[in-house]
Amino acid sequence: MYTELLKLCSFEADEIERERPRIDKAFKILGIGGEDIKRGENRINQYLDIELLGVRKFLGIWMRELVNLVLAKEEHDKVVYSDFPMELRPLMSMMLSTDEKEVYFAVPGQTINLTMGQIFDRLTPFLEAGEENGLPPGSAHCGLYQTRLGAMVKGVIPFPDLSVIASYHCDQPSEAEQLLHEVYGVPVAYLDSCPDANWGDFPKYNDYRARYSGTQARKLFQTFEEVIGHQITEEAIRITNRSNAKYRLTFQAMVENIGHADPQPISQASLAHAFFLNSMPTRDIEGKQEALEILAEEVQQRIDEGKGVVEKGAPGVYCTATISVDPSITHMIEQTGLAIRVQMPFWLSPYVLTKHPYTEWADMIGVGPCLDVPHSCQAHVTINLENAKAFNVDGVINFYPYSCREWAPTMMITKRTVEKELGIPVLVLEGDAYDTRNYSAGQLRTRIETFAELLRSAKAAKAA
Amino acid sequence: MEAMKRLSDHLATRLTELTRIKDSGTKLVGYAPGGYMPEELVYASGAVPVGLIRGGDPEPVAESAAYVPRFIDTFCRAQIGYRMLGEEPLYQMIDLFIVPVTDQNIKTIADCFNFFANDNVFRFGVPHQKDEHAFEYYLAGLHALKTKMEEFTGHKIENERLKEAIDLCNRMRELLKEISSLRRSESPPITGYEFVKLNHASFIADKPVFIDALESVLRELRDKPPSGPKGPRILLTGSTLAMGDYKVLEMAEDAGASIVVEEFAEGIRHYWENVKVNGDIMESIADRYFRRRVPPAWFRPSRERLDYLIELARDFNVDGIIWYQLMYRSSYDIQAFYFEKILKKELDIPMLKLESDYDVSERGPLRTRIETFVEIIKAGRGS
Repeated sequence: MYTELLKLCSFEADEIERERPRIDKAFKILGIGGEDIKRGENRINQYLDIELLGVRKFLGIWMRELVNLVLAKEEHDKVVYSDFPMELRPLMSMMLSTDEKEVYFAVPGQTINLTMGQIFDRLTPFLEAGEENGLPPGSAHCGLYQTRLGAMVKGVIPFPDLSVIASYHCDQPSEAEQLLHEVYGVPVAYLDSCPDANWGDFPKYNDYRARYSGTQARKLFQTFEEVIGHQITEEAIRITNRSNAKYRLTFQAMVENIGHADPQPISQASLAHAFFLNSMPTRDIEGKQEALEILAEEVQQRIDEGKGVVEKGAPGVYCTATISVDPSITHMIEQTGLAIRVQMPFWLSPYVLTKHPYTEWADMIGVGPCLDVPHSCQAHVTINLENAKAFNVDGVINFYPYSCREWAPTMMITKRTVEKELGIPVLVLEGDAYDTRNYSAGQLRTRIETFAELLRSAKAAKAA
Repeated sequence: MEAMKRLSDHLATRLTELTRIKDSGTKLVGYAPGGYMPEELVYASGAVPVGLIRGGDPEPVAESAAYVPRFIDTFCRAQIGYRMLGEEPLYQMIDLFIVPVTDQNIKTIADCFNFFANDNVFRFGVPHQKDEHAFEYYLAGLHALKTKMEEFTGHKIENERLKEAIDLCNRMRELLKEISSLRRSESPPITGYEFVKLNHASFIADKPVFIDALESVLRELRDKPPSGPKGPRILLTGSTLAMGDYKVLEMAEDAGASIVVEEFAEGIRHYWENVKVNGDIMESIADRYFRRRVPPAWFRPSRERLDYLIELARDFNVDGIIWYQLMYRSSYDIQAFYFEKILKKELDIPMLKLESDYDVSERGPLRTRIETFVEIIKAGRGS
């Protein structure tokens, strides 16, 4: 039933046969039937650059993780969860300090989003279950956390033995995990920081802020040791650092290639599965790097051949957020004739790559929020500006996920800043990165088409 | 009460007085509420602190839509709206706005005051945990605030002046605590509405005048004869109870209930704890304002706050809890879900969860729900 779908996700025939019992079991638990399979095949073919092996390999990585996630408690002694936007390095160093059979690490919300959402368009049951169990509708709760809670409550994925979450981006992840703790008894460890930089400080930050986050990282590792029974090893840190940097820089180079190419060689929707591996702790480090290198080569080949998904000379835009559950919206933007040069947060701004004086692992993690968007609203706006400048865009689609208390408040400040500093138009677009029920491509199309027309006219006038 | 009338007269002319104070060269320092801002530091620098805690009006909330999306907490949007509308003199006349950054909603107020109003804003952080590292972080923030106040006012903050300011604020808190504690009695001599108005006055009034008024109020209340059994006893809790947002208090008391105690993250001055000077003064201030302050809902873990609410409910012998939160304050919304389960298990008393977006159309439904809740409690009491 699912053979063709899995082949589209780069599964080989022998793997499908070997894994059939597991896949059957997982799909049954997930409620994936014939219609869903068909829909998945159609969506993959319609919205993603499926002819690229790299894209198929990334789909395969996430599909394997979905099966692994559903069967995690049966196949492993302990399960540890985190989720976006928790950064990868602490998770990976904890994961690599444990035995693969013993401990399973996952980002369940993101895994379900990129598979049940992007591929099967079947998120609603999880969202509704999350709403009924503590994250009600009408209160702008984050769809990502509704999904992961709903999946646990429905028994589709297990409750973890430990949840590890960042508490400095917004209150939603940590409060949702606190609910898991109070109602379901799940131990939770938080990575805290304080977004208290004064306006004008960025890119400077207080040493005591970085060190405070460093102490929180140490506390997190201590909780990990107490609950899971393992200490972080130097080897795990070394592998994490090396593989993380390699992946991130390869991705960065590819994003820059795409952003400077004309025509746009690949749909931005096809990059989501590759990008979100920056926050998923997978043990298949080599597989993920290989997939990325293949994709980067294929993209380069398209650039060399002048192949594109949008017409050459199309106006270029920067999108201020990435939609992880619905490729149709990104696809629709490109169909209106706009080349999406880059999406936030695909490209690492120069600030993130700034050298810092911290050498201890926990402190290196602690300084992370000080160098990027979590530093402050000013940092977020500045990074948005840098993205727009770096890729010389003609306009900005200031897409903000309405329930994201970190992203959404900055939208008017970003708009005014970009318009003033760069003199290019900015379209403010409210949407949802994690919930397909409230916003659709059809609903947003008119505004995007009008904006595209505006940019085309402006570009033509400039050329004349 | 005569003292309340005197205080009311003082508040009526307070803006004029603050204008005169400002014109004489004294700095006015506004601050975002939340209980983490030590007024003592502002007083010791020679400036006058004023809490920006207005709320309850729909117009500022509507105005804020030009600056932030609607899915930010209502109180925070209202602050942005009050500032940008330009109709609230206090919001226009402050020389410096101090924001203890607690969550993203409060941070948004600071961002908007900075960017859209070009105001002078100083932030310091409030970590979301209560371990010793978090305490050190908060203390570092207080030191940064102290330095800022010294630079801003041109006056060094000497220990003696700081102790005087601590004594002043401690006296105020003691009096508020004594007055509030009178509501433990079966026949509280002061209503919840009256106490909240008194508490709100503390953010604006001249401290010595306010303390004098509190002392008189306390004397009058102690002399007041008991006035018979009151209705169901309610603990009112939630995210923010702003100055001007009195609808829930009025409706509950109209329905025959007695709000005997409140606990809010913002809008209600926390008075149960005083600064105990023991060794380093700044550490003593941080101890009171961070370690001993009941944490709001965005602290992890959240058990301390919930256990505190249970204790408070026992201490004041409440019959029910009204959880009053503003729209889109996600921490409170999530916490309400599991707190109700904890409450049922620990005290087996009912809880009513209410939400507001400061919209006038809410009033009818809110009244119905409050009246029904009070009736349910009365029926349970057999009264």
